[in-house]
Amino acid sequence: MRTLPRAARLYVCAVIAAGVGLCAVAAARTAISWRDLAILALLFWIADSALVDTRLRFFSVSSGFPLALAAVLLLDPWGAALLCMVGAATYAKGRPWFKRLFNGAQMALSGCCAAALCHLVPGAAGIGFGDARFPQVLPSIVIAGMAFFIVNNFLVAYVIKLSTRVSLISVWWGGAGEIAVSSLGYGFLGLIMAVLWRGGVGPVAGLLVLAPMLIARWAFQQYGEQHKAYEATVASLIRAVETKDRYTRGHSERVAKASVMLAQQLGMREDRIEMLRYAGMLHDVGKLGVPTKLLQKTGPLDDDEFAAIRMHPSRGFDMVNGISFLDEAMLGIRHHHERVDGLGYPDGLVGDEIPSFARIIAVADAFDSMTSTRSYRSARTVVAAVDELRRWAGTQFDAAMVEALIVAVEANGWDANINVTDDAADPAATAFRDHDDPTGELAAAFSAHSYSMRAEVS
Amino acid sequence: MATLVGAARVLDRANAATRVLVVGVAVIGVAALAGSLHAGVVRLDVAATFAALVAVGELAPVRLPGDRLSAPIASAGALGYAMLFDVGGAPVAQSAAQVVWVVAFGCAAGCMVQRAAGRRPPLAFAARRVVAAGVAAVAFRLATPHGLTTLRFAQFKEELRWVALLMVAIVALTAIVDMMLAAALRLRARAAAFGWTVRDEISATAGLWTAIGATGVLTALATPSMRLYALPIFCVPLLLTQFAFRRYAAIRTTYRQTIQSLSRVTEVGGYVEAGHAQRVSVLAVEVGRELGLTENEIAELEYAALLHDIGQLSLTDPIPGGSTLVVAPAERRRVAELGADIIKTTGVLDHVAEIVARQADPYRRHREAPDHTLPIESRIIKVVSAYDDLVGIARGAETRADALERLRLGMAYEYDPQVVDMLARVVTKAAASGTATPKATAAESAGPATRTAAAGGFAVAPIDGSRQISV
Repeated sequence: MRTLPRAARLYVCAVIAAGVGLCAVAAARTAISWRDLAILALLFWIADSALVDTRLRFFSVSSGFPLALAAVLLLDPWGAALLCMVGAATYAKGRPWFKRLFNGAQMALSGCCAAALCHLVPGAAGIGFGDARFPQVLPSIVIAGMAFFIVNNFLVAYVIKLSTRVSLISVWWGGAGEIAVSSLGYGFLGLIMAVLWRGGVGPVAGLLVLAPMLIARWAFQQYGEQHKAYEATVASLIRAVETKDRYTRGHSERVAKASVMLAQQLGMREDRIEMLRYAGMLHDVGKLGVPTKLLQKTGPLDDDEFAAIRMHPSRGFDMVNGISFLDEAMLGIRHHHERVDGLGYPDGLVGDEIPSFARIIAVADAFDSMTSTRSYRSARTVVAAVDELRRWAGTQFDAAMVEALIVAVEANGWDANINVTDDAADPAATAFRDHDDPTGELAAAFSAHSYSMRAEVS
Repeated sequence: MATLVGAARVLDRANAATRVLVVGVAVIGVAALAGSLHAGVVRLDVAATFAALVAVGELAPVRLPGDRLSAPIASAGALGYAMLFDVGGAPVAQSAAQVVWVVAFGCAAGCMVQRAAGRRPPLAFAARRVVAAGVAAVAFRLATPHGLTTLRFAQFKEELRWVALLMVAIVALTAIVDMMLAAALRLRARAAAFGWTVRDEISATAGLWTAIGATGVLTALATPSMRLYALPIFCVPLLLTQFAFRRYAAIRTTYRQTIQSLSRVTEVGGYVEAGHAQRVSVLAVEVGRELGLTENEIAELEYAALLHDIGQLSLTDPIPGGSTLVVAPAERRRVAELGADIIKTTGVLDHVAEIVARQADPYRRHREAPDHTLPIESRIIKVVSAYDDLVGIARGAETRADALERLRLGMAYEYDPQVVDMLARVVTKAAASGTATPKATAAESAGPATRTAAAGGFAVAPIDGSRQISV
């Protein structure tokens, strides 16, 4: 609680006070059967225990929504408020007390609003078995569900905004939208449950209704686990590929990190950011196809050797071509050595022709490479690297991307890879030039070529 | 591509039972239609709605582990219709025969649309759906001999919770029958036990079956009050559930594609012959299936096969030609262990790491009993990798026979005889069906590398004299 900003604390207290007050009144005035309330609360609790880590940044999603909606349809507004409060607040799983109370309170407020609305519309409440009013009552039920949903979302999004200063809209785009649609869909289960419960099936209806939802949660969990496994596997295989050269160890992961920072600064959508992270991880995978002796060569390269090195982005692209989900990321890999002035490779694209993923990776790539220790020079400071990036903005790099990265680094800091203290590899292997460093020493060797060529020499 | 076609042909060949099922269901469907027309069709409007639901559901399948196609909405609709007894307070008494033909009609329509769209209709899965609907319909009618619909609506309400439980039991029974049927269809070689296959089927489909079954029961229970409006309302949550399963399927595919792509780093880096990992994985999976490995085991076998040479990345100098067959056993073991170390760092593929670590171990040591702690997957990879090293991209029947003969020579100690037998079956079958053993899908332009006499556990000489160094 203390970690929250003042405004957020006040807001949380106000919502809790309103919710608890409402429930106190409700307990005194409600006419519902306590047995029904207990059974519904138990079902709510079962649904909630399938709470899923949605990998969203700010909030998790309760499976209790259909149950709450069923209560809205089955009970009076007071009863709905009580159920929501009891259901959301008793569910623990290591959450601080104020979060539980806040969740209970906001659910109680939303439930009460929805139920009140439902009772205002004639015929919506008390829908039951063999009901001739179906489907005429459907619109009002949908309205009640929407009301529940909107109040609930607003109350939650607002506390996120107050405590993290992230706007309501980006909270919505950060995944809330997707969750919203799916929980609205599951809301229909609440309707079905209410109908069957009234119709004489009783609590068994609750269990039947929960099944599809719990199974979906299970699948999402499996998905999450596979996803984690996938990330771990990609990361460690990339690391294995990098073991060839101790100076670039961890480079791919840091490029991925810098690209993500940059993209977040640009306000890119979460799913694209994820894709970008993979592109960053895999951007140099084609280097495997370049003969090691070329990568390690210290003297000037002839045109053929040069061409071989310039192959690596397209080779990388060919390699990951089989991974269909990468999609946009593949272009990021292919074009990460293009320059906005058109002097890059492999296709010599100009300006906006270069996919935005590639423009981002190019900047992140150069930045990491400059702030890392290399065999032929020590790491630059972040400040020096930033100056260098600015210098090439508009020719080699997209100026907007450079600025975004600079802002992101200033805001979040940068954990540069300065110390290469691991095993001492043999000198031959370490005489390796960094093809990502725009200020690489090999510039001198290629003064005859344009700058573009010099920058890419490995 | 040729590989896939070949594999599909092999599968077709092994599953003559599938064809019997599809034809049988078609015949039964027609017979049911005839009988039902004779007796009179009950509530054609309801029948048409459910048939349409099944047909639409058929168009939205979801892929479960092990290439199992499920169409949750079609299945739930079929089950719902099998146990449907009342729509909006008016009793509906369709016969089991009517249920069968209505569902069969829906499935057939869905399959035809898919075919018109150029997709391969999942006939076996559709046929199983019809069987499941038939089982549920018959069981429901047997369990309620006097018919639920003879009761007056008001009386009936009292019994509804028991009806709900009865329906749950019937769905459970149907699920079991369906899983047994699926297992029987998948049962292939002699080595695969029926029990294993059933267990595998349960672990792959029980989750989605629960959701489907619950939705079917709810549909039948809710139509009295919600009428046929219940159907679209039920579709929404089930679609969302299906969406979750799709995401799960998508990440599994991605995982596999990524391992496939990354397995090529050893080839691109010049450590192994182009396409080796890919060919070994395709063959190993085939052999694994013949040996009756479960779906999880197959997945791990595939990953291990793809990554079995990754340890070579840690070597300072590539082994000439990349074949681990031509180096000393100690060196081979070192490559295996280096590879396992790399895989272990993922933290999630421990068993894959173990398979890779032990791929170089002989089947049994001199004068010892076979090593039972050696994972079957390691034995498969050892045999298949050696076979691919021997055959390379040469595809003649003679080369194949030679390679198999050489492996048989090593059977006493080096190679597991059962695995070698299975491999012989797989490659012979594939050759007989007109396609060669799996070919490299990766760039084959790098050309084969030469092989010299081995210093390994047993001698291997290059078979195909025409294969010269081209790297």
